[in-house]
Amino acid sequence: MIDITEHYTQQYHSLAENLPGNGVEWIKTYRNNRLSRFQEAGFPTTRDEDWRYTTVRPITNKKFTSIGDIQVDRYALISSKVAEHSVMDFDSYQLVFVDGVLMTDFSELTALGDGVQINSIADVLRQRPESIQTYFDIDHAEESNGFTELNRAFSKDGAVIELQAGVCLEKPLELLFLSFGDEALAQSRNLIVAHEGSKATIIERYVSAETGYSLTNNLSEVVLDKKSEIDYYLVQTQSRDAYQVSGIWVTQASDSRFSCRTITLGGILVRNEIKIRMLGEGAHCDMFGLYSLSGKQHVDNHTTVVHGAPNCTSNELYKGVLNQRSRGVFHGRIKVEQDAQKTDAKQSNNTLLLSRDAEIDTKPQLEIYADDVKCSHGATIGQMDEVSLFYLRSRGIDESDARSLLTFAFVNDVLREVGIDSLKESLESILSSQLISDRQTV
Amino acid sequence: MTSTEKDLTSLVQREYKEGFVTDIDADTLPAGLNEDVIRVISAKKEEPDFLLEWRLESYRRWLEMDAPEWAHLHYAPIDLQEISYYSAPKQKVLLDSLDDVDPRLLETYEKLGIPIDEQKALAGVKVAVDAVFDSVSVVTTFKKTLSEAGVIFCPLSEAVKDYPELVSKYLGTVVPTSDNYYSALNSAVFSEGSFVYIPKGVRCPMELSTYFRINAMNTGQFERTLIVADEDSYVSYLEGCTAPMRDENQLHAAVVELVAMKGAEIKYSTVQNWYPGDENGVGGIYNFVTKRGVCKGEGAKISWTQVETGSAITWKYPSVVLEGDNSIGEFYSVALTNNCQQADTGTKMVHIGKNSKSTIISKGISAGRGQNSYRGLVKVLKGAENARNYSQCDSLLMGDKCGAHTFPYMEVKNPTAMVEHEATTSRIGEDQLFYCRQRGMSEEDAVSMIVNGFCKEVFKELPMEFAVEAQKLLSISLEGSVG
Repeated sequence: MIDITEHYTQQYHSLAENLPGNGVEWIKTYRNNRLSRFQEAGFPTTRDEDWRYTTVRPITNKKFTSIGDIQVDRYALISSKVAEHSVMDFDSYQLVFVDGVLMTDFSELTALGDGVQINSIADVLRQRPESIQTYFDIDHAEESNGFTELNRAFSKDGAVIELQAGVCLEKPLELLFLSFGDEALAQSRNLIVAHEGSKATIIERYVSAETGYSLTNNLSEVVLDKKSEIDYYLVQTQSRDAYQVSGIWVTQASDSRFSCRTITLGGILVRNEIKIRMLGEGAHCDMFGLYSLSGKQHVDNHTTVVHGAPNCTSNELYKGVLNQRSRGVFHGRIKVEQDAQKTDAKQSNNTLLLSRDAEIDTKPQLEIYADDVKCSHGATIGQMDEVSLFYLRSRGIDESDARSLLTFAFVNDVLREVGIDSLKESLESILSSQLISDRQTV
Repeated sequence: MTSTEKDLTSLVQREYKEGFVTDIDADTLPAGLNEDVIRVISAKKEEPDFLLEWRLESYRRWLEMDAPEWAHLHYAPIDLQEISYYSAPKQKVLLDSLDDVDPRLLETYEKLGIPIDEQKALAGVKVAVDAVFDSVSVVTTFKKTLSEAGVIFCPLSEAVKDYPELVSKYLGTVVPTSDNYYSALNSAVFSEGSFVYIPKGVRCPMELSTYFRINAMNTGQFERTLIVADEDSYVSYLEGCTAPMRDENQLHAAVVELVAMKGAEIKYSTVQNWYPGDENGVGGIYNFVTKRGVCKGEGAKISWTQVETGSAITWKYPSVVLEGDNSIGEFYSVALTNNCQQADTGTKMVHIGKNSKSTIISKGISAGRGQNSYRGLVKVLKGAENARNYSQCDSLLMGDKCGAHTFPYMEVKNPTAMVEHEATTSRIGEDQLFYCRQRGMSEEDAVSMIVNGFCKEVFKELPMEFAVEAQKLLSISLEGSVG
């Protein structure tokens, strides 16, 4: 473990001079502080309560390296990969990232009109770092771990998206993350600021352009001002050699609405951390999650909702289907602070365990310090209902189709929350082809 | 504050009526812990060599361990060198009958309402009692009736001498010496406890009960209970505890081990009423207890029922290891924290055998500045075909400074298992209160009724007399916390 920390420290030192905004004193100090925190903390181990079911050894056993600038001669290839991985009939604005670097030449940065500013975080840090300094000041110390510190120490790029007050984005904005394998370390840091009354749909979608090991260690911070609304998607359909640690940290002001859907169908080791802090009265958040796994996939969904103000509501539903040797982990934490009266919080995790070698570890958690609250959580783990199966078979549907139907019905509670038809259809077809191939290899 | 609230608040100042001190000559070891202390304890109890070795082994393991810090509890570190590990009422001769017992001791138990006088007890309900005062067992009642049925019920220190082969066969098999920090400490210094053995096919003719009392100052109580139910036997065991009111915190670190063989059933009920400290959180017992049972054979059943109203801090997870096929584990709990009390309690159900079933019903009530956490683990191992678990954890909040927390863990490795967990947290509904008051009930009565209703699923698992006591205890502990 010591030398892997050293590996990244060395990388940091060799890159430090060229990191964006390096000339600015506070940015430099910030990065150095983050690095020393990373050195102190190291990568999490299963002895850390928050990581007890997920070992990151496969990640720390490899040496991932941050890639250099992307040369123009790769543009043709990138362009064809973007086309290959785009969702059919999906009308959206698109930002393209290659191994964590925002490709301005492939991205629509200006087409969105005056109300929306999209910039590369590298450019912002070079040109007007003070405009985002306040967001860097938010500490999150309590929530950080080795991965987030690593990201904050030397992420090179990312998108800064700012929605002006009252602006409503007509089309969804898609952030497409392509990984090209090659043991690349992709670290982007994104910042999304929605000013009062603005509205947008934002999609983070991760795909593998080529096979080969890759590590994506992303962090997206979303700040919602009063009455703003953000629909967020985290869609992961990478190949089975992609490692990913993904953070989405959200703060909500009063009467804002944040809705998140996390759909994980790809990757070999994926950890998603969604942390929502509702700091203004009357805020609402929804979290929906779906993971359908097979092979040796390991997916860990870690969610935290902090009710920090009165009259906030939250709703969470995660559903999982586990096949073959896969392992699912769910940790949902709801924290209701002392003055957050009239809180209404719901959380639920249901898992379909379909194989003898699969495993689910689930840990829903309530921490409540206020009294006038309504909080509940539920978790179930089970298998396909034999009676339903029999019902379908007695009506002439063969077993394999019946199982598919029931699995689809099970995950439909989450899938139907995907409000974009083309995206939903694409996910459904990936899911069904996965289910069929899983069964053939059983 | 409304006038009703004021009335209710004045009620909270009710005293802990078990808080008196008995003035009795005691033989108390000086504070501190080292190998010599352990040798002295062992010598005083005239223990066989195997037990001394076992104690020393535990002590050495304990030295290498750290106090657990993962629980949702806040307290200053405990200085274990300031505690005396042995205190016994001075008594020269072995007791043959109740008449030989120091009358002041009998008086103590009388005050506490514990029926150790067999004549009186006969008139009422038959319960065999083993009364433990600080570090020693004072008296065990109904020994004769029990021995006729073949049941062994005696202080552990006697069992060690009279039935060494039974004790050495089972002691430490359920909770190994190195299991955790407090159980290791207990294994090194335990002074008293009860031993129960129910032979094959015997249904224990009466409820067995142990009553624990901490009296001396600066002592810790480290009792160890071992219950073995042989094939197809049945026993119901009750445990109660109190301590005097003191400003310092006293440590209680007990270990309870249950072994249920094929077809046997053990029902273990606890009403825990250690001194909880005053309303500012000064004093009170630190209750760090390891309780675990093993369903060894097919169809064995272990049921834990606990009503936790006392202690400044409760750290307790009565668990069941379901080894046998078709075995059953149950956990019913009511935990109440008022004033500055903190509780981190729950259970572990480990499913190993096929068709094993477990039920967890946990009711937490937080009032005042109390912090109440449920922490539970349901683990289904690969071979546990058709394992079934149902867990329900409900929390009731009274007052805006208390907290209720739920930390369930579920780990499932078998696809035929069905595991369900449900938890809710809320306060007493305004509508429910209004409904009762509208029908002429006082607010206090209405709250008491609603709380009792909330706990009913657990109370109904308690033996009759205990259920009545538990209900009373609950309403007293809650007095004044409404508002």
